[in-house]
Amino acid sequence: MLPLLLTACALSSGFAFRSTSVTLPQDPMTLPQGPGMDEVATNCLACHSSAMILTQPRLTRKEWESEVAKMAKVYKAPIDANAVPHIMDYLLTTSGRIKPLVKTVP
Amino acid sequence: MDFNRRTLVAGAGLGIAGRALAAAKRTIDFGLPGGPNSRLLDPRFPQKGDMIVQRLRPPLLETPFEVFDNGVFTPNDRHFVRWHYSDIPTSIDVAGYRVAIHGAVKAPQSLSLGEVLKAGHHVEFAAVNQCAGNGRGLFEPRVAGAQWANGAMSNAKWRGVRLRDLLDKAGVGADAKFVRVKGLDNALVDDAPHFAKSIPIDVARRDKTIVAFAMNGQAMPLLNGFPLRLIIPGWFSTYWVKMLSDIEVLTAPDDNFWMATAYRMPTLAVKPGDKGFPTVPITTMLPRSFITSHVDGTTVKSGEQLTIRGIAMGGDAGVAKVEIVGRDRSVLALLEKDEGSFGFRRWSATVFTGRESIISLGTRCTNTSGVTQPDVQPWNPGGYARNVVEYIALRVA
Repeated sequence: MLPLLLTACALSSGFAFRSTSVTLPQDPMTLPQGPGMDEVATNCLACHSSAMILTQPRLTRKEWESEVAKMAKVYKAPIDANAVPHIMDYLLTTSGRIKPLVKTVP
Repeated sequence: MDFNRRTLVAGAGLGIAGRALAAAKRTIDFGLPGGPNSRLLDPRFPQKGDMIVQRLRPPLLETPFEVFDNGVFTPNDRHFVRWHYSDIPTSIDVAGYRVAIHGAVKAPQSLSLGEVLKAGHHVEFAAVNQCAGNGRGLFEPRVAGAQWANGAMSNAKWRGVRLRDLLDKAGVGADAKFVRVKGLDNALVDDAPHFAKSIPIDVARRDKTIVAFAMNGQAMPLLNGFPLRLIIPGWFSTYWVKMLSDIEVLTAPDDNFWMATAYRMPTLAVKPGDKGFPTVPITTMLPRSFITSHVDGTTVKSGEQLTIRGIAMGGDAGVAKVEIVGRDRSVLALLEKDEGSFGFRRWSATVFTGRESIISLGTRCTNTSGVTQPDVQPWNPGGYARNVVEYIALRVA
């Protein structure tokens, strides 16, 4: 389940580093159904899993607009400008209002 | 109310992918004001046990609160995890690993792990690693960001070499003002600001500012920063850069996004919607304390002496005292063994349950610098540095 490859070894002062490889759990890319789901899946989930959105409290339109703008401006997310109104629909109607993992994106 | 977590078995209503995972996952009720409160408890992260998943990718993993009742040192496999960007190396080749020291230095270095270990004396001490946003989900009004309850903190014994000894191998110039550190994690988008933090040169040269290679006597889990992590006891985790690979000496304040824009605190009282107020980088931690022996809503017997216990931390100083705060009076807790002033300190106290149907118990820590936890949490837009007196309610029957 957790492949740990132990190979090379750097020994010094009684402490040994061992080369390490791990596998992170796969992101199932789940999103609950809602208006704008496809735009969120396309524009948001490349950089982070859906939980970043779905665990947020009920933010106001202004607060969500500033979050989306930060993703584009600061983190340089290539968000399609035409998708932003749909993303906002999803964030305002779905996120913060339902339990994560109710339905999965096909 | 953050202690009120009912463990529910997930499964019904999940899609096919969800059903396959249901055996390994449980959903817990997280108890944040206004929700949403569904979180997964997931044991599938490498070198980690059951962790509360705030975000799967990049991982934000919270330590389940009951872990803090088991002792002052958080086991490595339960130590909280926080990454900013998704491009995290999942393989570390220790033979090829290098730490660069450059900038305003006389002789830039590229040190192997063996050279780092031999750079100076090894020092070891306890220190609490706490996210600046620990408890953000409990802020009211709520704010955007990782919606942590109070488990984005963990205590460990860190062993390492002093950053000062590494800097001296390169020879720091007289004009050095700050030291900027980076790790191997990257953003998926090229132009996004690389995660980097800077500390004043005098903080970098402190006896207890170390480049740690061991955590509780073991190499640290990869998700906690293997093979090297900067440790600045008393300072928030944001400076404790993981997979440390780059040390740069600066002659002027750092204007990078992670210092100039993010992780900043207002210097005066603010309310939601305020703009243009002065801010400074968040740095040192504040005293905090928690009851760990009882969760919110537990039923206890009336008319009995009840022993409660918990943990406290002084922030950037030791723990001087912990008070148990009741409705109309407070009593001093007994402080147990001091395992290091920057770590958790265990305490216990006995309270009389009386005849009331519900009793409310809070804990208030004062540190050795005289700083006390406040009764009201000052609000800030980042949801940083929560340290208000935390209460639980007990039912008396």
